[in-house]
Amino acid sequence: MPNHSDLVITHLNELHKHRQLIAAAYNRGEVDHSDDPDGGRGLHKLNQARILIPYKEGTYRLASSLAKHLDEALRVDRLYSMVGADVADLDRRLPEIADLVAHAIFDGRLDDADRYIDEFDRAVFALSDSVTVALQFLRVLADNRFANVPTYAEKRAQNEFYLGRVESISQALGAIQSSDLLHTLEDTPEGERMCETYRFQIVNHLPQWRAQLLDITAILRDYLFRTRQIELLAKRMRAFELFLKRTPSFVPEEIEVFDDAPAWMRRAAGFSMVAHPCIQNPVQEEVFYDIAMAIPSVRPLINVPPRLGALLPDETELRDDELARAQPWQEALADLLADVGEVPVSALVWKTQRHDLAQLDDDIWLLCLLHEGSLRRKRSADVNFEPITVDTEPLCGNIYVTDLLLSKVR
Amino acid sequence: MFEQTMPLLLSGKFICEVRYPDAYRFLANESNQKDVNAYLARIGRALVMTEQRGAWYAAYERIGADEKRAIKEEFARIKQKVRFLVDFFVKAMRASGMEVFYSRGDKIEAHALMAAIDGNPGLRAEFQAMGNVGRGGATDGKLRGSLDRQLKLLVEDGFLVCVNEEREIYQVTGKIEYLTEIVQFLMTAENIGDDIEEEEAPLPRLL
Repeated sequence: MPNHSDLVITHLNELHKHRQLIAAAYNRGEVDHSDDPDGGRGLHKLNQARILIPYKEGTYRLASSLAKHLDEALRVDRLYSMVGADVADLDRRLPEIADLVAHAIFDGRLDDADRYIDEFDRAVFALSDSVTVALQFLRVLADNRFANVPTYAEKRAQNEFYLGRVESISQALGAIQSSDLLHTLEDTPEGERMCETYRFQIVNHLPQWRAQLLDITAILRDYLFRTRQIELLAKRMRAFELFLKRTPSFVPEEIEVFDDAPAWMRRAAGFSMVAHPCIQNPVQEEVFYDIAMAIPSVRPLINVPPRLGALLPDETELRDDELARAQPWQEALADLLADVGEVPVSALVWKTQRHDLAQLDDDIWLLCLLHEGSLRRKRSADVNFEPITVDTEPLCGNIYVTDLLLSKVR
Repeated sequence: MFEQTMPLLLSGKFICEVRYPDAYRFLANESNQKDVNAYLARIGRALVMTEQRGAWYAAYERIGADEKRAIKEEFARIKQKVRFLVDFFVKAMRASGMEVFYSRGDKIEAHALMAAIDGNPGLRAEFQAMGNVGRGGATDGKLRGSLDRQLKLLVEDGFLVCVNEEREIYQVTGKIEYLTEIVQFLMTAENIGDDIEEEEAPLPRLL
């Protein structure tokens, strides 16, 4: 038959084997068949070992004792954690177990007495652990000012809740101190063994625990006061802003300044201060010297006489043929305008008579004349440009000009 | 540190942990406070702290005719600015979704504030309505420009310090506690209660 420690190892091995399932149950709150890599065997094994407890249809949750252990081990803060809730119960159990030990010894049941003493030790350890963990937890909460909740209303609610927990732990510790269990144990047969455990685990720590509790209480009360003040301040500022919004014409009244005016009103106007170095002071001569030496020397301005240059030869004049020459159509236009009389002259007929204009396209020629007509220049102001057009589709937008009749306006 | 702290106090600065951390730590020591107070007392000043104990400043120790005149002048300046200051901080608080008022050390990120205002048409209109503050800069009606001017003005007035210019992050100084004391005084003087509630817009009636 395996001994006690072997059972522990076996159990831990079982936990290790199904660690992924346990982690999933802890992190997600529940697991089902699909989470088990062993196809359901892990769920069954862990359920047998009371690690996983049936939750809803086909799902399992982690046993609260293991969840609590993991919370403590991982320092996970739970909202409204019942820290130290078992302190008073554990404290009440201890005298009862001591009585059981005494009865067992009187009845000669030494094995039972040993078991009860073991039970007593466990209860003492549980009490000690519970108080220590509770105090650590509360201290962290007090120091980080309930950082795990974002709103001030929730912080205040948590603060009030944990102040209640601190109060109950404080009462339990007071009860432990006043119960004088140590003297009772000393009078109990086989009490020395229990005394030793109780003294080392509880009695020796009591002053320290009470001091820690007082610290935590002070921090929590101070923070509660501050959260109330902060909320009040926010409310006040919001109210004033609303008041300003509703009364756009509001201007504060002139103040009466009394001798006992509040500190903010007595705020002193600042002096405008400027300091100058005292250059007569020989003590600072060296400093001034260093400063003077650090200033870069100014180079004297040197006027360099401008270098005399030589005149460049004038550029050669452009020849006449290099100057802009009139385009053939411009010359033709000038000639036509000169030729035009009162009798209308067809532009195309006139052009055909000029052999030097054979290269000029008819449409370009007509376009030039239309352009000239639209410019209303002085030279063509007395010339009438009458286009000859072809009928087109109505509303097609195109005008086909086939010729132009030019004549002098009378 | 005495030499650095005294000019700050004499020039009317508020010494808080955010803006002048070294001077603030220096004044946290009781013997240093006594030294500073002894010095200030000789020129009719006293070292005082805001009610929320976040900032030190110099105040008149005795109030004579000159001091009364100076106090009235200072109050005239406060009267001009208090509306903008309260408007800005409370609206910024609402825009950022904060349930508590700004206190020393709180950060204001210009980009985040801008995004929050932009996402709320009501707030946008309110910020634009109080936009024409600050020196210089044409009021082009652009929210970003007016918000920058407002932040700049608050830095100049000592209510904010710019802790990261590149990312435009500002930090609230202890002078904010001075503002809350002024508001508390005005509310008491004008008999304004803390329990003014925002009126809900009346529901349109169906025809």
